[in-house]
Amino acid sequence: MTAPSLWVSCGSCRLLTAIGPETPGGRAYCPRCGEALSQRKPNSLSRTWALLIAAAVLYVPANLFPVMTIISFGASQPATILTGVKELAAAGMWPIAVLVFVASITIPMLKLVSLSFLLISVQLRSQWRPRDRTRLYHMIEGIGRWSMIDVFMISILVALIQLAQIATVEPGVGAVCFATVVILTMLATSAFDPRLIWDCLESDDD
Amino acid sequence: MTDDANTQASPAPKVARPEVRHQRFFSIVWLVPLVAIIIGGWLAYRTVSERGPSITITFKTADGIVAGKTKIKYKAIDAGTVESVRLSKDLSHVIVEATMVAEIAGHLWEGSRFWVVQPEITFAGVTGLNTLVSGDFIAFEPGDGKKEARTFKGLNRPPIEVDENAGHKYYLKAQDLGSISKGAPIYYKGVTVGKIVDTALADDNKTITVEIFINKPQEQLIREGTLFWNVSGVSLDLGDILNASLHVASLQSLVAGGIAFDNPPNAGAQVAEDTTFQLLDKYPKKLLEEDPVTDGLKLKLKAELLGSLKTGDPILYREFEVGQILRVRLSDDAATVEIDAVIDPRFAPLVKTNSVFWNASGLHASFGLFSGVKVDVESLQSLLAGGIAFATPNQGGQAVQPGATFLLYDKPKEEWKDWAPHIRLPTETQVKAAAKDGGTPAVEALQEATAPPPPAEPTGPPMPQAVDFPVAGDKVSGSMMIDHLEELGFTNITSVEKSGAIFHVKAAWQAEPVSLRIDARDGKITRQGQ
Repeated sequence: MTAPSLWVSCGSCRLLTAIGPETPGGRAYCPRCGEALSQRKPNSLSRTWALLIAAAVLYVPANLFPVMTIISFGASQPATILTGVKELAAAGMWPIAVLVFVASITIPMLKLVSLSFLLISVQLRSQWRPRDRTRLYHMIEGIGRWSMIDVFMISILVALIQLAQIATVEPGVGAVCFATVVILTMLATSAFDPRLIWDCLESDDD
Repeated sequence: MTDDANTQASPAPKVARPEVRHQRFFSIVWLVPLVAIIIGGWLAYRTVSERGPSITITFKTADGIVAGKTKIKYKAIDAGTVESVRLSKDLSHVIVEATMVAEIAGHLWEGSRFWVVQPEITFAGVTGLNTLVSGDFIAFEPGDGKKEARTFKGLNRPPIEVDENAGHKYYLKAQDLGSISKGAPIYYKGVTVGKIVDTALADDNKTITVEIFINKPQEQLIREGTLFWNVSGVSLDLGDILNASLHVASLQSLVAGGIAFDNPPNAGAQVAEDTTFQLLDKYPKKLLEEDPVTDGLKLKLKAELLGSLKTGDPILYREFEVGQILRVRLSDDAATVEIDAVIDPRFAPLVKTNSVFWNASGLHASFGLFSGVKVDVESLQSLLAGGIAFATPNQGGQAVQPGATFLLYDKPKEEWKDWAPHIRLPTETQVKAAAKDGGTPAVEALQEATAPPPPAEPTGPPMPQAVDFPVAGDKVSGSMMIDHLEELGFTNITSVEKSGAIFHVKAAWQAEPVSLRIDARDGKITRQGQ
């Protein structure tokens, strides 16, 4: 019996499995728990790309469409994320304006750019500073959820400000797009396998 | 066994064999960006398709207009949003850029009207109250031009909104606007049936043109003879003191002004839109109450003074109204006042050639040393409203020709009031039958029909032998002499010569020319010559 090419630990029950050459084209599953076995996250690159492209597409309407509409005395006033930041700044609330700007505009943008960079670098089998790229990945993973504060804020406003004629806040289509962008980038981040960063280095060692 | 397995499957001590299944050929994850692109594309398409044309409106002032907030509304529906407000280069006006919604795009015709709706409190009512809380908005009314336009001139004042299909427009010419204002109501018997759209000075700068709008179906009421009058403010009609009337159409019209209209009995056919009418300045009571008496026995009266007589005043016979004054004017030589009067056909036979007319207006008081104070009042009504009374002698008169001229005395003689001739009046049916023939011949026919039998004695009453003057002989003037002679029944006074207290007068008595010598000191009349 030839030596199995790869040793794979099951993702859920940690059973160590040897994936032999009899499996090309097929897919290996854990004999104990039934979990799919793979050396790396399956289809990591294409999955991450797909989710990332979807997020990038929705990032445009998320910023251009109003995230909420304030209806006061019959006059509706739509507000996009950027106008919200502008108004906060105009009102002198600089810390909040900066927070909203960073959380809602910069972070999603950074995530999109960083993930794209990681994906491209992996596909080009780049050997450039793998340690820093791994750190970048963990950073993206960590800050992703903070972008949701906008969505939380809007949901709270919509729920609280329902004063009929005097003032009503209605969620806008931009809010849905924005929440989707945040969720998609989080999914894309989790679909990316940071071990891929090191794969090219390993094969070179071989 | 365990050891065997360990050694066998080096280097791991325990190796499980995986199950093998075949992989799906297409990863379902690629549906996610596909859906995202579809959603994004749909959002973009919707935005572009809902986005209407950009337009430019110029206003005198940007009062109430806020960039990005002020809406343009049509029938209370959002039709666009103001994008920017800026000053024109010469600072004379403001330029408002607005984006309209797509549905409006095809209706931005030339002549479309834009105006800022602000709360407005006028006597006609309170409007735009909702803008107090919602902010001002720009109202839009599509024009009816033939060309589409993107640049418009905003109105400074809201126009009076009328729906062209909901009624008809008419024009009124007025001498004075009074307190009529735009938007004030038009009343028909107290019901609001329209409004005043516009008021403007006519081209000649002398009259005022009032554009009015009558709602359907009341436009049927606008006829050839329809009378419009101003009901602005209070109209107190004291002319008819016995039923003095205070006309106030409504409290609203009292302050905001208004126009009322009504139809006299024979108002004629309905008129076309845009017809022009006269606007009367007060309630035309007489015109509306009855047919103006225009056919009948027409007479001409000459008076020295008008004495508060005016058109429409009654002609009284035994204080009963039998006709009215059609027209008063100064004679061509300015020597007398001419009064055109008309007598109702039915009462035409009352007027004879020897009838006497006098002004029954006002109060006649005569103070005489011996006669004491005498006050003549025809009737309270005629005292205040004016009028002409006449009396006909018991005998001797002939039927008068239409257009006959009479002298109008300023006061009656006592004996005239004792005259009580029996004159048979035509019946209503006779009048109607005669009226069918129409006009003046009818009057003549009536007079023929009712003419009294020729008097048995062809000679008239004896000529008076004396004339009574209220002043001393020397102070009797020529005109006073004429007055007194005419009062006695002399006619056709052609010449009056005065020498001291003696007068030589050429006149006629019962159509017979006579030459008289009158001594003003004792009033004795002596017939001379012939």
